[in-house]
Amino acid sequence: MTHRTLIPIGPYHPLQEESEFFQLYVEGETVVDMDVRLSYNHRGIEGIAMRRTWDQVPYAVERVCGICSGSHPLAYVQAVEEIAGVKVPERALYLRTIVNELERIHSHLLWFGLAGHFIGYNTVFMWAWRYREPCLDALEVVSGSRINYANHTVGGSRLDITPEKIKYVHERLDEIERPLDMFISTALGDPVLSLRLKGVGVLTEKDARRLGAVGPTARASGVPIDVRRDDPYAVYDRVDWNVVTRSNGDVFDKVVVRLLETKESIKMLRQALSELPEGPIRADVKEVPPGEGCGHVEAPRGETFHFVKSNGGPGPERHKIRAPSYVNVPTFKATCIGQPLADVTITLAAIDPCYSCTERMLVVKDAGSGKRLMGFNDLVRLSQQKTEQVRQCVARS
Amino acid sequence: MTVLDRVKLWGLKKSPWVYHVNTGACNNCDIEVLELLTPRFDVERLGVVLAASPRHADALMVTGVCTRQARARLQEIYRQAAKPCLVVCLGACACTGGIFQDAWHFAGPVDDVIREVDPDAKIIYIPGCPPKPEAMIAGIAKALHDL
Amino acid sequence: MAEALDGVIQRLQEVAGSAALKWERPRPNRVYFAVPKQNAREMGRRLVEDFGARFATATGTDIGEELEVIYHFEYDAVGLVINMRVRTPKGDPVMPSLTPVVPPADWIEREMNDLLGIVFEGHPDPRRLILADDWPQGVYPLRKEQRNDA
Repeated sequence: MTHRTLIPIGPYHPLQEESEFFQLYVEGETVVDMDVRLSYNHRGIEGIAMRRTWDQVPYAVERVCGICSGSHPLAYVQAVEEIAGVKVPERALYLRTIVNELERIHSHLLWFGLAGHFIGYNTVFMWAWRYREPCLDALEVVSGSRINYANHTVGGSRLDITPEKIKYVHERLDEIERPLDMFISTALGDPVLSLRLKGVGVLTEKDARRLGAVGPTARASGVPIDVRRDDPYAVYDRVDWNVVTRSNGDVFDKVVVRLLETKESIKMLRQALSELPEGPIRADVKEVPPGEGCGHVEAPRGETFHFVKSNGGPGPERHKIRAPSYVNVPTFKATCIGQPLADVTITLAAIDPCYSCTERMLVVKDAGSGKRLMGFNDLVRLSQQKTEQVRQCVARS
Repeated sequence: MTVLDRVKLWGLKKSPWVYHVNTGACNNCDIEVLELLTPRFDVERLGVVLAASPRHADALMVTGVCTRQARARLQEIYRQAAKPCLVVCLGACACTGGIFQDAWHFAGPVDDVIREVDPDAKIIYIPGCPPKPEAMIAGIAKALHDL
Repeated sequence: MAEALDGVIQRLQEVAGSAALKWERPRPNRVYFAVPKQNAREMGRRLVEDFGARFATATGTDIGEELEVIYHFEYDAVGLVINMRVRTPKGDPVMPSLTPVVPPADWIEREMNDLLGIVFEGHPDPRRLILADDWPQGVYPLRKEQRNDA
């Protein structure tokens, strides 16, 4: 007789009955339901932003999520510029594109490495992160910091770029391009990866639209939305690039979408770096009149949406921050149900939530049928074992 | 110090097993901790290994502000960690709470939360937002040297 | 042939109908309108099902005597953001939940309940979302009276 069991597992304390981040309900080895408890990371940044001045807020919102450290400030400053009717200088628009596309590359490579680790390709993890370093070096040269670039300000950019720095960034992109092509051909051509990831964690187009999914999570399911094209900002309507979509909505397609997007980012960067016009990098903004503004950008994970309300004072009266994972993580419920436990980590990872959020995944079992305790590390091991089985199948055939 | 204590300390200094605890962070520090394992920094050559459980840990690498929801769990993890255990407060958030000190969900700073459980806890601080990987390595090396 | 922005907004106004009031269009691709709270759920349904918009998020604000929720929808094909205002007096902080017809409103309505104490009637799962398990009941961090409290 099958019965529903809730298996609690925590990376913290396996024996405690407590609500951890992700709770999976299983029947046998198959997931039948899922629940999420946010709260661990809740730091009340909206409240903090509302107690700061217009210029201080970007430094606070950078720290909403370290990986999307360029996207949040850009969405915020765009919302404020909308209220104040600011005309941002051309050169700053190019600088914004440069920082945010570098961010996309580093984020997608980070993700690719983690995904590799979860399915047991540790070499992928090492290689992807190794080739992320040139990207972080480029960001450090452009903005002064590997992470937390603090480059977007109300009215423009904080730091300008010199011809030497432009050359440096081109050279770092050269370093990344060949390994990236290798990752792409590996992903597309490796029979083990195909068997392991195709048909896994499928998010149908219908569900993607119904749940309001964004970013690569939506584009891999055939929903062709991308803020850079739909509501262009910075210089996305001036450089030549393509929106990448796939139609199966499985983990495999999500891998392909992110890798191909990284290639598009490099293409955009080369253009932006070469076409950078002369001029100032910041408009003078003396005050922000009363009003409301919406700023949204295509972060690596999808649309980041900020809403700002001004009452004419020194800082925002209200500031709403919505990260892309907020709408993408709930799709995990649609994609993990019916999956075997061995596929759960890669299915969740495919949505690209924050790493710390993924770490807190657990499977819970009720008292009654005895405690089955499986932590995040156990789930990763299950996933890696499955890849090994697939590899052996392929080797035998 | 007994012979066993000496051996434990030698083991800790030569090859610290580190358990990573996120108490409510933006992920920057956490990602930079993972960076340490990658070829460029490669801390495994220095003997630093990520532990799968606090029970095997010589050191707790704590990131984040310690939100209200994470507080009790942080204390529980500290209790479970094998002693002696070094608590590494990594990043501005873990050191002092940083810009989140007046946030409604702030329940730290981390050192106060740990000292509530163990007033004699060994705590070191590596500030930065995030600290660069080189700074993390230098901080840990210095702490191990001074132990 | 792609729909032009003005045509989209005209179609939006037709679908929204007479319950949508106080239209504002501060930028070409930003519109705001207000609905009385009893019409909110039906308006949400029309926006996603009849009009074809995507739900982005919602902003809850304490505006003094009232609590205001702005539901933000988007029509991606033309980069339009549609902002729907719903207000309720603070003394009666109840409004209909959009979640039964707009599934992605689920979490944000629970969050606004945590932070502002707005009760979304008909929400299928009105549990606490982001405040800690031991956070006291009745304390709403985003309410003006709480704002000075750390």
